[in-house]
Amino acid sequence: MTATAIAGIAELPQGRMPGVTPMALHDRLARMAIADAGLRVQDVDAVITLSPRSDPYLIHAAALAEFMGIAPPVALTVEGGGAAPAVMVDMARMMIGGGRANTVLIVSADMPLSVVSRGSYIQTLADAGPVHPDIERPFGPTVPALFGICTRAYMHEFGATEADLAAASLHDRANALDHPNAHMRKPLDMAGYLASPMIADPLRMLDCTPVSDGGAAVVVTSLERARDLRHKPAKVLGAGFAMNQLHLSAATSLTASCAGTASDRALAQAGLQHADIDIGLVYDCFTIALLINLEDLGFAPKGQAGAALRSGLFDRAGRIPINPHGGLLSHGYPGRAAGIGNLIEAVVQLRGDAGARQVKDPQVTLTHGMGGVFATHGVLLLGRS
Amino acid sequence: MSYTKPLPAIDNWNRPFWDATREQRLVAQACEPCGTVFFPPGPVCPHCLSAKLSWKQLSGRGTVESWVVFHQVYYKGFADEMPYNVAMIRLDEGARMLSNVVVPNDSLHADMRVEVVFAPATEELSIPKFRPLTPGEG
Ligand SMILES: [Zn+2]
Repeated sequence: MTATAIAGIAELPQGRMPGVTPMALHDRLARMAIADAGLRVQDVDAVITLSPRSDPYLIHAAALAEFMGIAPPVALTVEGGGAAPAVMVDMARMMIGGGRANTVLIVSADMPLSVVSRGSYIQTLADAGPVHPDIERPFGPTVPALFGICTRAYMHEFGATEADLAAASLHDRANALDHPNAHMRKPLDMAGYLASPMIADPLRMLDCTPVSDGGAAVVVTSLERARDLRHKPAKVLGAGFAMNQLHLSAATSLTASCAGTASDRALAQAGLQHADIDIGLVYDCFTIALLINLEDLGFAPKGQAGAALRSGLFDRAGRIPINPHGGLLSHGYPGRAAGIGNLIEAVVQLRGDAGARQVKDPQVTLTHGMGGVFATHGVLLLGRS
Repeated sequence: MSYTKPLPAIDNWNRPFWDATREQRLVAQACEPCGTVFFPPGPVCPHCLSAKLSWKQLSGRGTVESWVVFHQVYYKGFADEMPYNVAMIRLDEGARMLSNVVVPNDSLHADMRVEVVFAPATEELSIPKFRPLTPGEG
């Protein structure tokens, strides 16, 4: 397959964006990413977007292309939940490899805070998220309730405590303090964590992500072409995907999932070993997601992610830095676009442009995304070319 | 007073389940070749993909695998019951089922043995909830 690379990226501060429409946000991110690559808007011959919850469209990507004044041969909008960033980059890769496109623009943004409202966004997740409408919804669960059920099962099975959940929350917050685009930038300590109210006991508010306006854009092109552009290319080394169910009632386990299968597939495709990974960007819509995903992705033994977090193993100066940007928990959760921040951080770190949060000399990054309640997983490996 | 909690969207796959609740019976699809009992209802067995399925009357007994106590009002119908629990029940026949346990929240515990009880909802269906079994009841 033709080697591909991420040549351009764009991200704005995550949080509240009053006075901006979702389409204008997409347009702005798109132009920033294209300019970052050193390309022109008319070079784009494929646009891939997610359907923003805050701006429902039939073929959102075509609406964006029209708004930008371009008519690329390919304009498509995909649904991939939190695994979407890996899905979209892999699609771009196949389009470029197959000769369908040369310059693929991916824009993933949403405005659940300013346009939809936080409350109604969470309501929508309850109504049309991974909650089964027929046999789960009548009992009043919501997405935090389903993750809370996984949390209590995890605590029961492994003897984990709220200190382990707190370790995830504090880890991400400490990293976000150094990120100008992060949504949650107030220092947090254990007392602050414990003071946060219960939402879905055992999950507190600070075990859940904030709801953010935001997102990002990336430009994918062939590695050969990317080498002539503005930045050091972030080469796509491999991608892997896995799923086992959508609804938690149908899950084989409440405390483990197939993230590792996705990761193994990506590593096999890249011809790499787990030990080659220098930074992990691990999807963490809740603290429990960070713990379980870290374990299933092979970064910690089962039941020990909390202890590993406390040990400093995953700090930016640790042996395997995890979520140096603050993860979804503190960098932000831009609705449908959640997870794109992990991809952006991988590229920024590989370029060496992360400033105060720069990890020393990373060669290979693992970006993980998860859809539903541990339902679907996408892993993307990027590297210095 | 009308029922204000979320009601299921009834379709051809789940209709036998909800019809049975009207008669205070808990049923699930069972695979004839491999015996798997499963939710959510669907056209094939998730274990062996056989379409030879039948609706089976369950014992109505199970074990609390996990639960949350929910403190936010996202469904108005639950507002009077705050905070309410949502539990994952492992039924004795093997399937997992989300439900509510009719018990004070602080008395919930892992591996609690429970039995189905039916809360009236509409003329068409009841909501299957669970109550604790006392030791000796199973
Ligand atoms: Zn079967």
